[in-house]
Amino acid sequence: MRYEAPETLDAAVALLAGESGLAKVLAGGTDLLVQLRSGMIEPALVVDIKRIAETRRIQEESGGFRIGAAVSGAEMGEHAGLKAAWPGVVEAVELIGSTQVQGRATAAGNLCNASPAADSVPALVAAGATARIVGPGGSRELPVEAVAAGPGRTSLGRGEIVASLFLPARGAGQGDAYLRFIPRTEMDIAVVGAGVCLTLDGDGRCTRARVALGAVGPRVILAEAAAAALVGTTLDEAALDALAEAASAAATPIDDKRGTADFRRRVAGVLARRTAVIARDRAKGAAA
Amino acid sequence: MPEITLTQDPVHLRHGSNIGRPLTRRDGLLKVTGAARYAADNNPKGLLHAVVAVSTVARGRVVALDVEAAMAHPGVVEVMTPANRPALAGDPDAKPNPLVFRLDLLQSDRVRYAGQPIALVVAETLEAATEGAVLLAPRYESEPPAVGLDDGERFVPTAVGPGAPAELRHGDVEAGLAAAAQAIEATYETPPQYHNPMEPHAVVARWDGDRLTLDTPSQAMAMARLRLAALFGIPPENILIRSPFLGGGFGCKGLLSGPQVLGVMAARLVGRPVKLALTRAQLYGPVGHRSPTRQRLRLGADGEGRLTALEHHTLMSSSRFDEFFEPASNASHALYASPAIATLHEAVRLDCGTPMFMRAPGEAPGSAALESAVDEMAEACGLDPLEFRLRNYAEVEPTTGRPFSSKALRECYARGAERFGWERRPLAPRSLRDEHGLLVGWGVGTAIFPALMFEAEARAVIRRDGGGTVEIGACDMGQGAWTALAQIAADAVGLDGERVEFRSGSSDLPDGGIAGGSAHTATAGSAIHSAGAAVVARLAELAMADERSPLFGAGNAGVVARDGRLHRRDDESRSEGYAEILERAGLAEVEARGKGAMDAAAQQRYAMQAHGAVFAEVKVDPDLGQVRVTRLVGAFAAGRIINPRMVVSQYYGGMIWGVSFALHEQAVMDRRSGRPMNADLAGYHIPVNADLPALETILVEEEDPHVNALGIKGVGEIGITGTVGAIANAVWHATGVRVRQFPITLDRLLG
Ligand SMILES: Cc1cc2nc3c(=O)[nH]c(=O)nc-3n(C[C@H](O)[C@H](O)[C@H](O)COP(=O)(O)OP(=O)(O)OC[C@H]3O[C@@H](n4cnc5c(N)ncnc54)[C@H](O)[C@@H]3O)c2cc1C
Repeated sequence: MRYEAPETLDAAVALLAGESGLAKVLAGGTDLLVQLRSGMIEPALVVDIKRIAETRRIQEESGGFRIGAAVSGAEMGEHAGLKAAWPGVVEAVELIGSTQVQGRATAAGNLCNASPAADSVPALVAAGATARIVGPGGSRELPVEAVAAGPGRTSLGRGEIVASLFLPARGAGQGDAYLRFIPRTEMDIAVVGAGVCLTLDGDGRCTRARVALGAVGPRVILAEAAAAALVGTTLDEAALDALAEAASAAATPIDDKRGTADFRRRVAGVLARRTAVIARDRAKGAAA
Repeated sequence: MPEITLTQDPVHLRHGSNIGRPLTRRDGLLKVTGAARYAADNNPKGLLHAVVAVSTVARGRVVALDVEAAMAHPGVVEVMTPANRPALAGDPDAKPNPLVFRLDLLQSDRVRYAGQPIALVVAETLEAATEGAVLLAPRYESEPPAVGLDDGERFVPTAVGPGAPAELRHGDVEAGLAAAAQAIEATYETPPQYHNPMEPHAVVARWDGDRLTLDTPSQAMAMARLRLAALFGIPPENILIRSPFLGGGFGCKGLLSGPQVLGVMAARLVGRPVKLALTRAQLYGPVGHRSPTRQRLRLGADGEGRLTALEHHTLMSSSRFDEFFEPASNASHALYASPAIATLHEAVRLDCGTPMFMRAPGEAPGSAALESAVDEMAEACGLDPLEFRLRNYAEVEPTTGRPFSSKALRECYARGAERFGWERRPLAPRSLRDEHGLLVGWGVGTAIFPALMFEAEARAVIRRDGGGTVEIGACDMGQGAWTALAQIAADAVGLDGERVEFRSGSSDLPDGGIAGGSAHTATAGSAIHSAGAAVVARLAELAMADERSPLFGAGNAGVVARDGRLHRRDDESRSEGYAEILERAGLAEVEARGKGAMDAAAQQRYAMQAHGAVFAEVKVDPDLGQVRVTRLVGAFAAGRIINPRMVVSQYYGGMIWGVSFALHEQAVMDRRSGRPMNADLAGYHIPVNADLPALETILVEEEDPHVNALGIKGVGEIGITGTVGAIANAVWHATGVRVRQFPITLDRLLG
């Protein structure tokens, strides 16, 4: 196994594109190293992207934030502007692991590891985040929900890496939130995760909504019917009940040792509802 | 060298000032600074690294191993397989007594369970050995394994646990049930569990001719030495085991495991020191586990809520090739009074590693089921569960009629209930909510654990410089033995703690017995107490026979040893220092040995048990079924408390394992492969700190004149008993749902 730590994105892309065997990007390594040590994967090449300056920055761009692919969860949590604009996303990232893991783990790594239970992904999807992909063919911007293709698989082509994530400018009356459900209090993998982002008009009526569900399908589900149940309402009890029902219906979970499918469907509804209430309250705060 | 065994107060009384003090751990600084040297921290010169390759099938044969590929890997020195392993003098499959377990030492190509060692790769580096083990790429002929309790033919084992009868019948259960005003029958299940100490088993082994030195964690060094001596055909004295610290054991380091012996065999094969450390995943197979249980309880009670019958039947499993039967039903022997009690066991054989003593073997799962059933019975009688327990308080051991050597359980109930606020508990379930709308429930469970003793020996020395040394091959597995035993040692020789050198943790010291069965402090402590009394007696003889001593002729009055001086018992102003006595006698030191063992006569006359009462509060999210334990209060009475700080920690630990048992811990077995699907700490859940509530323990005073000279019972395991039931009962009280399958998971709760 070869280890490289290039200092530019171009060099990283060239290395990855030039390797005929399995090539892996190394960000925080909190997934990759575990997979290496347990023998799950045996890459021929590992390309560490932490030496690439532009992957280490959070930059304001068009009123939003561009987050480099090697920025750790702890760094995101310490960024006041980011936290104020996208509290749901930051909270989701901060749920990943423990203090030690936070010092390393990245949101881009969480996305590219493509676990259906990845905590930050439903929040990013709800927020309408995009990923900048660079590769041998140049650079493109992809909605985050299009990055994962299935458990452990991404839609990235050979030599492509996620250079950064982009969170758009937070609109007036907009609020986001993420909740996950785990049996244990900490250090556990989501049984269900729910991300909600809402926009309210001056009358408190919902004009736009995005609802994303984690761990209840092979990849994060953008639950459009659930979002539609909120749009046009004042997020009253009836609307929230309809959201819960639609979220449960959108979930396509499996039975596993952490919960049965029936249980997960039910939790998806309860959790989406609770998340929407937090997002609503944040949106109201933002409108005021 | 005089040698005496004490069961009564010694004639030469000592006044202790060390016992009872809440000292902090003597090894605390070493541990927090990383200076404590655990087995795998040893790197003797010329060390090679060994890695075991383990079977991925549960039943069958290994038909191919690519030894050539492994040997060709740079750094690999040797591959040990059934074809080239060193010959053994003793058969690893021999079973001379129930405490010798069959080991897998590459005796054949047969696979008896998933995770069984099938080869060992020795290399210059750990990395090379690890890679070599992968390159072996074993192929198997496999057969479908028996994995669950319904997969085997049931039989009644000849004995359960360490040799208890599998069936005990006292009175007429059927008649009791027929006469009952209320009766219940309920079946509870507990899953397979794995010990999971923080430190995986490791061994660093070195041969010099036919002398063997090894660093390895052991809860019983002398027994380990005997086993190795028999396997390798060398005298036990040729073997030195160093085990100063254990990173936990919980029973899986009680008896030498197969992988530890494999490390020794590898060192013999390559003629160099070898280190072998298991990975976390490799702990799921060859080092023991707790068998799953299915327990059926039948209880009857009269119109006053007094038990008329109690039947406890357990179905559990052992491996296909050896015998260990979780004695869960025996938890019902000594706890509740009933004119008719039957405790029964049946077993099946599965294709798994042999189960082993684990954290309150028998008592933990047995108490979980019994305490749940007793609660169900109380509910059927319309009684408060604590009141029901009091109505069925056993004044004598119900199955034998023997009195208890001591029993302060009533005080435990009373003090625990008071601290917890139990009297405010509404009888009906699902009737409490907190300010966030969470369901709140309160439950109680009784804790019980036998006061056991094994055998141990200690040596005590008093020197002319006024100091002393006490030696015993005892084991500090994190429980604080180094500290508590040193306190007993200081009092035993009548010296201040700082003046006594306490030596422990090595097999060249007198046999410290077993750190297991919650009996280590009682056993090793008694040995130290005897040795101390004996050496003080020697000193007293010297003084009393010497007319120049102020103690001359103290004879029948006797002397008291305190602060490095002997005092006349009838006139404390007449005393003499140890140094002067030895000085005049022209001796550099006096020494003596003493033994600790149970007093068989007292054991005949009395039932000996530690008791406790645990009260739990849980909160349950009504929509998600998420359970959080928010409060645990445990009041325990376990005889004399040597070090309250250590004891409280033991109770905390036990109660935390109780939370674990009730809500988290389970190995999920793949029915096809016979492998656990969660063989790591990411998947095999134990509580994290955030899961742990405010824990409170109350030390209820209890004087026991019969268990041993010091009045010590055990505290190591009792905390897990009672706690599991208290939590399950609280979950029922919060929700009205009785989950009879452990752990109580969300989906089981929501149905
Ligand atoms: C103890 C522990 C607890 C954890 N708890 C949680 C949790 O609560 N919730 C949760 O969601 N996850 C959890 N995880 C998983 C992990 O920490 C997260 O998924 C984390 O976000 C991964 O980020 P990373 O930077 O460490 O990724 P890495 O391990 O560096 O990479 C992960 C994968 O993504 C690929 N990759 C990384 N960056 C890029 C890139 N820029 N472009 C293309 N591919 C890339 C890598 O090749 C690899 O396949 C936990 C892990 C551990 C060890």
